[in-house]
This record gives sequence, C-alpha cells and structure tokens, in this order.
Amino acid sequence: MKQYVIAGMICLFFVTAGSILNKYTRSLYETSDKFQEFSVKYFNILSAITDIERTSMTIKGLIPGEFETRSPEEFLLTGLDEVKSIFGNAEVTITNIETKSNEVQLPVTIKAVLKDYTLFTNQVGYLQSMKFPFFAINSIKIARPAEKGLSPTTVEISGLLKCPRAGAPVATAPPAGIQQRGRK
Amino acid sequence: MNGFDKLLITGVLLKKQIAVSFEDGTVKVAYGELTDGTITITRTLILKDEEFDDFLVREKADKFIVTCHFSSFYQEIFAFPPTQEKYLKTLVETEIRKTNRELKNFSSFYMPFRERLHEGRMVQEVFAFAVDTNEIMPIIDRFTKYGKRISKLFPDCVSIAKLISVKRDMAGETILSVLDSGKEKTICVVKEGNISFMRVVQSRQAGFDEYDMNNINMTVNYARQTLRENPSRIILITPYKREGTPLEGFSLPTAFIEFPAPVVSFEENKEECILPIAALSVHTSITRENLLPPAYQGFLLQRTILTICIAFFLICSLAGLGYVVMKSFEAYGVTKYFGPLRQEIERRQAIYTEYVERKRQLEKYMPYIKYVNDEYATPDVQKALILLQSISHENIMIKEVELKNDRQQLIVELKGLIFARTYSQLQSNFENLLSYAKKVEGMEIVSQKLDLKTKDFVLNLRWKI
Repeated sequence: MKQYVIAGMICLFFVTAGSILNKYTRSLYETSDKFQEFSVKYFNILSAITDIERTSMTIKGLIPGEFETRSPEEFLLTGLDEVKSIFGNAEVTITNIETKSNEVQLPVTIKAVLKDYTLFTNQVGYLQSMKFPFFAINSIKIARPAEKGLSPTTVEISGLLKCPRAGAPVATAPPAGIQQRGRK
Repeated sequence: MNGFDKLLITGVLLKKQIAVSFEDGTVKVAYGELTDGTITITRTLILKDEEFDDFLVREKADKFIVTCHFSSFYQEIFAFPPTQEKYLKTLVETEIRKTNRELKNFSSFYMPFRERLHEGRMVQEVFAFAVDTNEIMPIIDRFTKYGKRISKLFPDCVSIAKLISVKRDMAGETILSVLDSGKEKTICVVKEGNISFMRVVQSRQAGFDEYDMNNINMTVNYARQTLRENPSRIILITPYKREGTPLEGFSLPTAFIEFPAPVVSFEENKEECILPIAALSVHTSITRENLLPPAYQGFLLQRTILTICIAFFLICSLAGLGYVVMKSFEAYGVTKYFGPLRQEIERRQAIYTEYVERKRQLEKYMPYIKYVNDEYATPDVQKALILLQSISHENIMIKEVELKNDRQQLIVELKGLIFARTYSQLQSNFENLLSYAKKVEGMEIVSQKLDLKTKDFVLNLRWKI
C-alpha cells in the first residue's frame, strides 16, 4: 500500500509543480508583454505630453487672466458693452441676468436697420466668436418693407450672452483639442 | 533438480509464466516463455513441500499458475432442462448446496458435457466439481504470505482433460484418462476437454499393477453401461517411471500421454513435471474451471487496478518532471530579459511622472474646454447668412428671412415674391429658386408654397453644418 501512496504523492508533486510553473511562466509572459507595451506607450506618452501642452496653452489663451477674480456678471456686462459698440445705433434690449448651476445668462435682443449685408454678417460672426462671455444666437429675422422706399430693411437678433462660472463642476470629457470659430 | 525442456506447442498464447503443481508431498515448478507462438519450458524444479516457502522467498516473479490434487472434493453429475449458459453457474451451486449440506463455503466449476433425452424430455448433463474454501485458502495464504499471487488455480485432472483435447488425433473421441498420483489413481472420462465422470481409486503403489488395471477396466464398463459413454482408448498420465508398466491387460487400447506437438527435451524431465507443464500449456483455456474464490479474484483485480494506477502515476510523474524542466528553462529565458527592461522603465519613469502631472493640470481646465467646445459645436449662423445670399437671384425678391437656431441645426424660413408675366414663367422662376436652395451645401427643403395669385412664396429649409 505504501508504494501506491508514494507513487501518488510523487505524481501529485510533479503535477502541482508543473501547474504552478505553468502559471508562473504565464505571468512572466504577461509581465514581459506589459514591459513591451510600456515601451510602446512611452512614445505615446511623449506625444500626449505635447498635446496636453498645446491644449493648455490654447485654453489659457482663451480664458481671461482675471477670470478667477472677477464675477461672471461683470464679464456679461463687459460683453454687452462690446455688443452695443459693435452694432452702433442698434436698439439693444436686455432682461434680467439668469443664474444657472454652471453659468450665468443674459437674454439680449438687437434690433437694427440693415444697411450693409456684408457688415451685418461680420457683426454676426463677431457675436459668434465672442469668448467669456459667449453669445449664443437663438434666432435672426431679416424683414424687408412691404413697399419699397417706405421703410428700411430691419434685422432682429435674439440670443443669450453667457459666461461659465469659475469653479463649476468638472466635466469628464477626454483631453481633446479646442474648437475655435474666428471672426469673418 | 534443474532441466531445460523445450515444448513446441503452437496456437497457445503464453508469455513468461510459472506453473506450480502440488503433488503428494512434493511441489513441482515449471517456467515457460512464449516466443513466436512457441512455448519454451526454460526450467523445471521439483521441491519438497517444506522447501517451497524458501523458493517463494527467493523467486522474483509474483504471479503463479497453480494446479493441485485436492485431498477432498465434491463431484456430481446434474441434469438440468436446457438452460442458458449464464444461469448454469448459479444452478450448479444451488444443486451442490442441496445435495451436500456440509459444504458451506466452496469454490466450484462445471462442465456441460452432453444433452440427451431423458423420460421423453431433453436434459443437459453437467459435471460439477466443488472444493471447500478451507481446502483452498491455505494454498492461497502460502503465496500471499510472501507477496505472491495466484492467477489461476485448478485441479490437476482439468489440465489433463484440456491437454488431451488439444491433441488433434483425439478430437471428438471419448477418452479414459488415468492420472497416477502415487497411492491414488484419478480416472476421468473426457470428451473434447470436458470431464463427464471422475473417480478416485486407491492404489497399492505408484505405477499401474493388476489391481489398478481391474479398477480401470471396471470404470470402462461402468462408463459404457451406466453413463452410456463409450471410451475409445485409455491414456495414462504418470510422473513416475514408465518403464516396466505393462500396457497389456487393459480392456481398451492404452498409451501414455503425449504432448500435442513435437517435444525437444529430455523425456524424463517432461514426465516428471508433466502436471505443471500441462498447466502451462492449457492455462489460457481455463476460464470457468478457475477455483479461486471470488473475494480473492476481487483482491487480484483491485491489486491490478492499483498497479495500473502506479504505472499511470509514474508516467504522469515523468511527464510532469519533463514539463517542470521545460518550464523552468522557459521561465529562466524570460526572466533573463527583465533586468534591462526594468532599467529602461526606471529611466523613463521621469517622463511618465511629467505626463501624470501635466494631465492633472489639464483636468482643471476640462470644464472650460468642454464649455467652449459645446458652444462652438452649434451651427455657424454667419456662414448660413453668407450662403443664403446665393439663393437670391433675378426675378426673385426675398422679403423676409428668419433663422432659428436649435443648437443642432438651423431652421430657415424664406418669404418673398417672384416676378413673372406668365404662370409658366412664374413656375419656372420658382423651380429655379428651389434648385438654387438645393445647391447650397447642407441645405434641405422641408416645405414649399407658391401663391399663384399674389406670386408670393414661402420656403422652409433645414441647414446642418
């Protein structure tokens, strides 16, 4: 009986040793693969650092220096002044400032006489390219008088001047580039 | 005593085997080997009974074929209605218990030898042989004590009966075999390897004298008259000197047993160890005649299984050892490259730290990046205004344009007047207007309406860019 037990134990020993070594070598291969992967990722990391740097530079260029110290309402009103100066004699109507969780908004309506369509499109382009505050155009209406010569063509722009609040909840978007819309 | 006998018996499968025969105070041993269908008796031994234990201690082989002359046994002829083979064993055992109450534990075998009409019904006659287990166990214990095992155990008369049946010139004949065990003579009626009658008679001495002849001749008469068997010749089997044994005086032609194939050996050795040699020659044809108790056979089976397990374990161990060695080399080969890789990683660690730090700094700006991206993801109203200029053409006056921005697309409503003198010209100009609108990239006409009376039109467009 003794020899059966010994044979069984020897067999068990080798089978167990084989199994453990098998797992060990597999883990070694996995580690080796991770080392290789790390080597490949090293170059990706270098590239990612460059991208992060570029993105950081861009966003820093976009955000005004005093963004952290001034209130968003101040930015809105500064923006409103800019709008008024761009549209000259236009009638700019505003309502109250609305405060949302991560931004403040100021509804704005601009009514003006359309003298030059190209100038008008440039003014719209300016509104679109505004940053801190941003101008979101909701609608534009261009109306020609019913009978020529009686009254001029008018335009009406409805939109929102809005500005994010400093320290608003962090979004979980990937570190991507920043879209930009320039003035025409 | 040593000898080198060579038996050539074709058609019998045998490898290295040892047969032991217990005979009248002596133990005879024969060693046999099978090579190319030929059995070679490589060695024979004749031992005193008390020397046998020493022999078992010395002998390396652990498996033996044993034939024995039992001092007490039970034999009977039973007649059953024709029965399936598988039920016969049980029937025979039941009949033995019925007819011999003294036998409690026994090993038995049976040999169906003929079917005949008895009182108008067909019956199957069976020769039954039984030995008390108490008679068998001392033999088994003698081997077990030294770690040896018995593969088959059968009475000497069975090996003789089987051996006679192998002889081609006796096929189909009924033979009266007489086995000389010294002061006992075992007389059997044998046909085609099966015993139909057995009788043990006392004898005055080894060999055959007039007294034995009378007994044999009376048995021949009994076989003819009572058993209705007609033996054609008498075969004498004696391990003693044949010289001087008269073959006249028997009522049938008489001869000494011959082995079934040419024998190249010393004749006296073959004669002296005739029973173990016979056992070696016929043991493959011994199946139901094996008298080993079922418990012992179970023990043998268990031992065989365990031996197979050991072999299996050893094979697995060897395979495992090979695998362990192979994997060890493999692991060594892989770990060899880890050192340089680790150094490389440590060298590059600073870059990774810088990446983590910069990423952390960028996280601070993420809400603003998202905000800016969301704002700039809306349709470009300035571009839409520029593109709308291309719709305005000769004969078309646009009175009112209204753009609504729902952040995904621009909904544009155009209202105007078409100048035309005729209706066909009106329709043509209107279709031109539609085609101009369709040409604008990303523009889709949602609905259109033309008033034939006033020549006013309303065009609803959807623009996605």
